[in-house]
Amino acid sequence: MDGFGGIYKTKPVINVSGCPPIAEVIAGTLVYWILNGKAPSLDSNLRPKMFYGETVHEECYRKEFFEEGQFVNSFDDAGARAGHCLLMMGCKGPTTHNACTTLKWNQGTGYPMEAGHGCLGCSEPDFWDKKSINAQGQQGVGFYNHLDPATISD
Amino acid sequence: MTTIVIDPVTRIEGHLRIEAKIDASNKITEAYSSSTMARGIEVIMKGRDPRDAAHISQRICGVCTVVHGLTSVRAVEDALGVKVPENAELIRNLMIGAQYVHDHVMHFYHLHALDWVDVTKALASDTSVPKNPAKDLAAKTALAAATFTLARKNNSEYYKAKYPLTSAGDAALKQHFIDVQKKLQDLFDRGQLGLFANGYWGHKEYMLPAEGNLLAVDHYLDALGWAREVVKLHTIFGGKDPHPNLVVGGVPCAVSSNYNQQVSEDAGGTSLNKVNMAKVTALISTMKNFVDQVYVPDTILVAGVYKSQPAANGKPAYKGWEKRGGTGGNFLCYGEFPETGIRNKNDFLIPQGVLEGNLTIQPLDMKNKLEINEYVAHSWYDYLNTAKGNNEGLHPSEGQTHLDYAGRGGPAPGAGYTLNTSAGYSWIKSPRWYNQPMEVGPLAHVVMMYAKAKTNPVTDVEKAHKLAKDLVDTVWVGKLGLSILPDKDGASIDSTLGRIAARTIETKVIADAMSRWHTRLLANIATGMSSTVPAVKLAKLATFVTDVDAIKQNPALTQNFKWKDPLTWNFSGPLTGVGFTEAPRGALGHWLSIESGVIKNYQCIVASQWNAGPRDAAGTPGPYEKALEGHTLADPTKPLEILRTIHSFDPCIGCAVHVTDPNGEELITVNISTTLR
Repeated sequence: MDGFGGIYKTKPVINVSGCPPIAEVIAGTLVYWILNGKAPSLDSNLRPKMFYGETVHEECYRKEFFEEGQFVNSFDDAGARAGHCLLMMGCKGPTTHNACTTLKWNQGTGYPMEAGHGCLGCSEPDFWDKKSINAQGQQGVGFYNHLDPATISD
Repeated sequence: MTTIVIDPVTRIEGHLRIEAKIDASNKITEAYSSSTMARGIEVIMKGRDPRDAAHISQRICGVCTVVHGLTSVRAVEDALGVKVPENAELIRNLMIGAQYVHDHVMHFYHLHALDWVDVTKALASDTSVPKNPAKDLAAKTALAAATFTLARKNNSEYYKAKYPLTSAGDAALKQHFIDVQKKLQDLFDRGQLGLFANGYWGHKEYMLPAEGNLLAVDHYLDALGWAREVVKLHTIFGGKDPHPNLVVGGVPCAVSSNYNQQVSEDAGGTSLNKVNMAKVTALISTMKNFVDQVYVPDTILVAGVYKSQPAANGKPAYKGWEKRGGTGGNFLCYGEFPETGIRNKNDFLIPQGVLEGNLTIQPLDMKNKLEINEYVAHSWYDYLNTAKGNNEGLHPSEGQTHLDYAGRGGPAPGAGYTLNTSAGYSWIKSPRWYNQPMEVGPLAHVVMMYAKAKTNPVTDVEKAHKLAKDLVDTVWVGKLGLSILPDKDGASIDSTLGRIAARTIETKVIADAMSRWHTRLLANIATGMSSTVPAVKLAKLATFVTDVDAIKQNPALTQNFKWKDPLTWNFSGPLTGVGFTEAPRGALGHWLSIESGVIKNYQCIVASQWNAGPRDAAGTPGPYEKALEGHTLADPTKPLEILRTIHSFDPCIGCAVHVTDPNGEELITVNISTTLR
């Protein structure tokens, strides 16, 4: 893939993705370049592996609930208070590569799942239009339509 | 007649262009405001899930984060008749409140201060070549001593914390002001102005004393770190900043079942817990302290220097900024900070209504098609199938977004062009209230609160209005000796200086209210925790039940819709809704219609649209255009005066400055700091 989703082809590009990207990820990428004189190791979407190497799901504190099949089904249910997995509320954490659950946001203050909202998937290509499953079990588009649990590996 | 072109077009991130015609005395006779960026969100939104609209529309701006998201969820909630739980309203108030305090402080220091503060005069140095180190230090020490005196007088509480009132504390504070000068000197000596590049440094309109400049630069730098801190309130309630999460029906952050602990893998829970609520308490103190101890006194310092001064000591009289930059006194507010629900419009901190050059509040109805209309007579859009074609005014519920740059007179981009002001000349439409332009934003908010204030307040909101009025009376009238309505010399709060003062005043009013909202939230949580109250009360931070009152008003609504299934939202026909917030820059509205579970039409009128819009079909200028008329430029190659007035609105569009001579020759190109937005 070329830079900026394939638009820019004339110079090498590092994709520091996110809407917006995490401040420390931007700074960390630049500092790596300055200190080492070269880009960090990149993934197939040209993102630095040191920040985008894992999905946010892998380090999410709610992952245990996913493994136990305990899900939030409504923003005002008991599972929402208990911090159960947000998959059924549309969380795209299992397919989203970013450092939100490791570095966290705003100097380590938190990340969306801590505040009870699923991941929008903003560091992935075409995240606005990502395919997911709607309430009728059909393929749909949207932040609240969920991924298929069967396709998610622990 | 010379045309001054203030234009970032095709330049770095520039999206606002001003063209001003000046006469032989360098006085602006006509001004034209042009946004050179099409927003396009309205087009992207069609066919989407209404629950997603908040996430997409929030990305209209990363500086005015939260506000579009909240406006959008309110629009969907209005369409569905959803009643938002009290605690969710309180959390939303806290999030918008934090946005105001963060944004206004950032605007004052990082986007506007350098129109008033000459950074190059914030340091003293020995000018002989080569520099004499001893003399240089002596000069810096003398300026540090003067700044020390000013800081101890103006910002006593602020500096006391780090530099106590002891001889050691005094010495350390003086050294601090020497160090800040050295830091600046280092930047200048290396030719790396960085943050402070692109100012009209040395312009004779810069009038602060040297110690005022240095003190302001110190606060500029402090405000950067402060701003990074205060946004953490958004992270706690919404998971990140910018672009924290909100949901249709309330807020996503349920009260943690593990309230006394932070979240963890073993214990689960949410970020709405005791540890984080203590953090929020501390963050609100951090906000209030900076506002009270730094922002308010700095505003008074700047205003005291830039208000009119009589002739004295051989210096001619100075026409101050309380006599420049007014828009005529038309102010409009949708209202914000519901105390008892968004439908109880009489209980908003910032009242809803319209003022027409006086202090009598007129009612406002965002759904009345006669009231708010948008014109494209001078915009690069087409209205299709309307009676008057492109001279029509459309209510946003029936608004259209058909882009047509070339067909509506857009000039070919390139150096030296001028706007085709007889045709379309902006990507912004012209919103009007009963065909009149309206200024929105902090000045509108404060005058509205002033007009609403009661002598003997009873409710919390009434007390807040009284606080706003008292601040206007003590700061604007008392300390600065200025008038509210125009006096015989044309001085009034409807001015560039009034806009700046109003922004500061409302920041204080809102920061104070935040403590109250947070206390209420904590009391509600504590009540829910007690054994006598069912735990369900705690869970209700988001509700998807249609309000009984809403059903009475609109029988097509039903209580039986399912939040997780937008296909159940069709009811007996299309649903329409309007959402509003009073954003830091002013009235913000989203109008939408929903059909078959997806968005059919979506229209936003953002605050900067009201202020920055071009002329309407009748040729009436918008507020920016009106405000600039009559400005006399001390030096047309350095149009600092234009920046001062345009920046006083806090435009939420990038802008930069070019100046051309009458033949279209470009004299200079300057990017200004709002390029960040």
